[in-house]
Amino acid sequence: MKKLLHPFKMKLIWEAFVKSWVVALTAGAVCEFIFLLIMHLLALEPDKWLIAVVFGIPFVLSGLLLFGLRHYPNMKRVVTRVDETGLEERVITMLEYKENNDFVVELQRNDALKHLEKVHPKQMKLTFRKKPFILCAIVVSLTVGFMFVPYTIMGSIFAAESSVNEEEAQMIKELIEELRQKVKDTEVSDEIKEQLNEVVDELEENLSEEDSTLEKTAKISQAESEIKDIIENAVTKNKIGTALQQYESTKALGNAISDGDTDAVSEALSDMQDTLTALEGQEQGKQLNTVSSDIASALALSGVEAGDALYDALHTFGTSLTSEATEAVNGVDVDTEVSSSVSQAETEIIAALEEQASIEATAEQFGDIIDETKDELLGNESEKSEEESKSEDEKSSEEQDGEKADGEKADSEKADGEASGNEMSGGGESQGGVEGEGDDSVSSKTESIYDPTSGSVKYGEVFDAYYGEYLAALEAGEVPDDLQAIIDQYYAALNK
Amino acid sequence: MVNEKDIQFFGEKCKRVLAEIGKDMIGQQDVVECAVIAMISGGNVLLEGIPGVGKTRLVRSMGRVFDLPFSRIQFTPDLMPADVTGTNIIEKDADGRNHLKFQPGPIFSNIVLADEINRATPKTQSALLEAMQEHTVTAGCETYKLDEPFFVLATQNPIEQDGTYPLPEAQTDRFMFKLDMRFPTVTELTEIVNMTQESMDEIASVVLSGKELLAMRATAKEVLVGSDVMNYAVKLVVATHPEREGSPALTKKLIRFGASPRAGQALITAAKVRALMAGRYNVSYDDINVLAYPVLRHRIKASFEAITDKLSVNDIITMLLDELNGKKVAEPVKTDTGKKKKNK
Repeated sequence: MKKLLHPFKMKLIWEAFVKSWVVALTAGAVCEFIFLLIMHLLALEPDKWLIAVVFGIPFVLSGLLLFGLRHYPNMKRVVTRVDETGLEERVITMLEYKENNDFVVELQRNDALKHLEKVHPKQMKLTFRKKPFILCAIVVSLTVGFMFVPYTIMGSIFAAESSVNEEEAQMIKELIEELRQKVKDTEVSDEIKEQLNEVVDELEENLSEEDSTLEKTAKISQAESEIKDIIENAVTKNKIGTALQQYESTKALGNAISDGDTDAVSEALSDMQDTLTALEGQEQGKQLNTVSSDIASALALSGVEAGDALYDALHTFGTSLTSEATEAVNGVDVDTEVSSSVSQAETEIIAALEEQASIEATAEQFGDIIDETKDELLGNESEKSEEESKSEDEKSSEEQDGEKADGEKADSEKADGEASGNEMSGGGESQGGVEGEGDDSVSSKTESIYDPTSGSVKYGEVFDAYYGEYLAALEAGEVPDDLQAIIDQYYAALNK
Repeated sequence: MVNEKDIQFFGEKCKRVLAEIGKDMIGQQDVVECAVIAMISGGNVLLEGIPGVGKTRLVRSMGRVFDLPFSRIQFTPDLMPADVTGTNIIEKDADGRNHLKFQPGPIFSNIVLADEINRATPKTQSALLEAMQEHTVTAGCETYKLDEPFFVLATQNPIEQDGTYPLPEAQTDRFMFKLDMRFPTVTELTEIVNMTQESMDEIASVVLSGKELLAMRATAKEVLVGSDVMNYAVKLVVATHPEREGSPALTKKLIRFGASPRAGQALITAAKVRALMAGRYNVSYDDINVLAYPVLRHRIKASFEAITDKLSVNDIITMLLDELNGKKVAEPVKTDTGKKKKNK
């Protein structure tokens, strides 16, 4: 029996071999595919030996296991398949009763062998299911194709995004460091330095990696605004100068202080001194009182509090003039004291103004540092939005070309119609033609995004254009500083 | 102990029996074959068919072929059990004294044709139960053994259901096969009409005696059954039970009651005879598949869903076989004999 079944068994071994290794090939290809996918995501090109190992191990292992444990045809499997050639379970019954030697069993055995001898191995069809082969072909094709994809493509997508974020993070870090250094170097009072440091700390805390570029810009603008407010509060010359301008006796001094012009301050004080020393007695005292009173009123009107250098200088000046006025009324010659007071006031006021000028310059420097960072951040963003708007422009110009072609065709037809209808008038054709061309040129220049029938425009269609206009105006210096933060926050909110 | 002579005898006699019955019966080859298989196996047969398809003629031919006494019982609603089994009658002996003597009924025969069995009352139907199963008749206090081989061929008309008494499951289960006799084809009917123009006589001649039939029965029992084939037959019977956990979904959906263990016994016994008739010494899957219909069709009760879907029991058996053989289950074209035909 074994001899008769041997050719059938060999055929089934071949079938098992093919089935096992097809599945093994699929398994190997799947492992390889997963491995290559990971390598592509990490943008790492693996060595060829590693590729071979990743494929080879699951391929060989699964092939051997499947062939040996699952598909290998044992005797029962062989006889079952042989019986399917039309032997009506003769062979398997023979196999089951092989130890039995009863008469009927012998008869059955002989009958089975007789029929088995008539069956050719070709009559036993090998059965292969289509699905494993199709799956194998798909998986292997995908894997092989994936091998030829450059490893940098997927990595570059992630790398590009991460490089942008890293760049911005670096910019922010440098900004914070520069601001801190600036605060440290600034020649302002400790109180103002503390306030400025608080603003810088708060900015550092608020800025998050997850923020978009516009959000970061908005927060930086907010901090800039706060810094400016702190500095404006420290610079009191404008308030005091404006208040002094309200009074006749101190008007010139007020102008000079507002302008920060130390020469003008000296001149104004010199004129004041000349005016005061030209008088005597009661009149001098009265004038001295008027001036000191005006100074006091102006200081009260300015809202500046004591402690401010300029305030203190003017307050001291006013106080000394008051005491000199009393003496003048009593007939004492106070010209020397007046000159001395004026001289002291001049020194103190000029010192205060110089200090405030220094603070103003510091404010400008803060502004420059912040603006530089904002420009760099917005520069990246505007490049992106320019690219996007470029691609949209290209699309829309293609559409316009299509519309233009249609428009020209329609207008030329119209022109022909007019020409045929108005043969008497000579310029009919040309007019029609010109009109047609003119209409097309208008339509090609302006993108019609306004739908007159609905009365609304989709905001997404105009955002990039509006934002581009804002950036252009910002670069041209046309956007007021105090509005910048608000506008940045506005666009950041819309872009979410 | 079976020998080569017995095997040879079996094959020859089977061919002759089929040939002789074929002289009296035109067509209905599968029914004739199944009836002969049942006879050799020692089982009873329930024949169902419209009037005039040859049910009685088949039984009478079989009676002639097997050279066995044949009796016919026409079941009517007024038939009493004693009319079937026999009764005690009062007889005067030589001394003039009265004594009771048992008068055997028509059931005391080897081949009994129970015609239109469903017309009799359940009480009368049950008179057949003991005889069919145990081959004995109990009358009064006495139990009388019936001669072997004993074979009941019952018929029923599927059309006239008014005033009939459907056979209970306990009784139908005692029939090995239920055979549907279909209306003859045009060719067959032409042949029948032509034949009966010449003569209505049954011309089948004797082929074997009762003793020889019993010997053939013993020979068939020796046929081998592989364990896989046995498992397949058992699995088939078990698969008809919807209450079983592993039964197919279609069983749960389409079958209300499954086949009894007698179905398994009948399948294997009949399959052995069929295999030997085909010249094989082992049972094959095909034997089981072919015999599944006559064995199971009267043992399975279709569910309400099957009835509303207009699925016959034959259809359900086909679907069950497809399920067990791993084939896509397709709703088959309904046939009378229950042979599988698939919708394309």
